[in-house]
Amino acid sequence: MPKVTNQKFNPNFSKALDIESLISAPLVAVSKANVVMAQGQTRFLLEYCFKKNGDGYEPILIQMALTKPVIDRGKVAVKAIAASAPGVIPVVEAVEAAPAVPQSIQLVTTHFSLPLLTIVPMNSLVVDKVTIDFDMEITSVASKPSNGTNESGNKITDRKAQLYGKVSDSGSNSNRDSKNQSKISNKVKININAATLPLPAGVLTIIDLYTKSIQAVPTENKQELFNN
Amino acid sequence: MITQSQNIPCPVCNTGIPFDIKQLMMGVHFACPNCAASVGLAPESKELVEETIEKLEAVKGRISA
Ligand SMILES: [Zn+2]
Repeated sequence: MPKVTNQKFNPNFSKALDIESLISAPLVAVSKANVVMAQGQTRFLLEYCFKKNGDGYEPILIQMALTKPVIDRGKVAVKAIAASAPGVIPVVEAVEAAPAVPQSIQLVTTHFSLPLLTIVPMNSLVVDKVTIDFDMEITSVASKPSNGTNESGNKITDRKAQLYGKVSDSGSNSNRDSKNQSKISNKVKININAATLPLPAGVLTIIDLYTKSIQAVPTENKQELFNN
Repeated sequence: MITQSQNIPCPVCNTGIPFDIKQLMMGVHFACPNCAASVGLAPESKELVEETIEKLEAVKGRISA
């Protein structure tokens, strides 16, 4: 069973933090959650979609039913054929009678095996969508030196502004009076969106591999393989 | 709830057949959009698929808790 650890995001709202940490903290939490999900997917696949066979794993198969309409050509009514001498092919005259068994469409059901993992919605085990909205009150601005080199290798020293702020309550601001106008201008609205990550490449490859093996191979081809 | 659109390649023409796992478990057959074939879960595998999906829901619930 996947071991799950709960990652709780508990920022200290009363303390002024630098804006980068405030924005990155929830994203780091989402990223950690995705790692937990990916581990969960892998464990789930190995535990419930494969069975251990010696040193390796083999997929658990399920039975599927394939239904296909097939045209039954029916049986043509044939006139009585006169007995002929042995070795002589009897001649059948053209027949213009209604068929003895009329042409019909019949549903033919064939069973085929499918690895269980190809129908399990593994991508439901991911962080779907994360939207984080909060207001931030900027408490101070500091500048820090930033060293770097340009394309020609010369050392450049410039200063970068660093904002410090607190998460503020996002209550309605409609009744604010003019005295509080300066406070409003200190506020920054932060909106963080993180969308679903695709399934890990390894998991996708395994599913793709087994899904492709569903394609039936016509028996003529099999015959060709033997002939060659 | 697990609601993700999924496909099974048609064994006849290889076109993706969209299916819903809940409906598949209920015995619904899904028609190929390209040929006249349709696929469904064979009754003998119904129980196994149901158990696996239950376990997936449980794992999902535990992770998102
Ligand atoms: Zn088809």
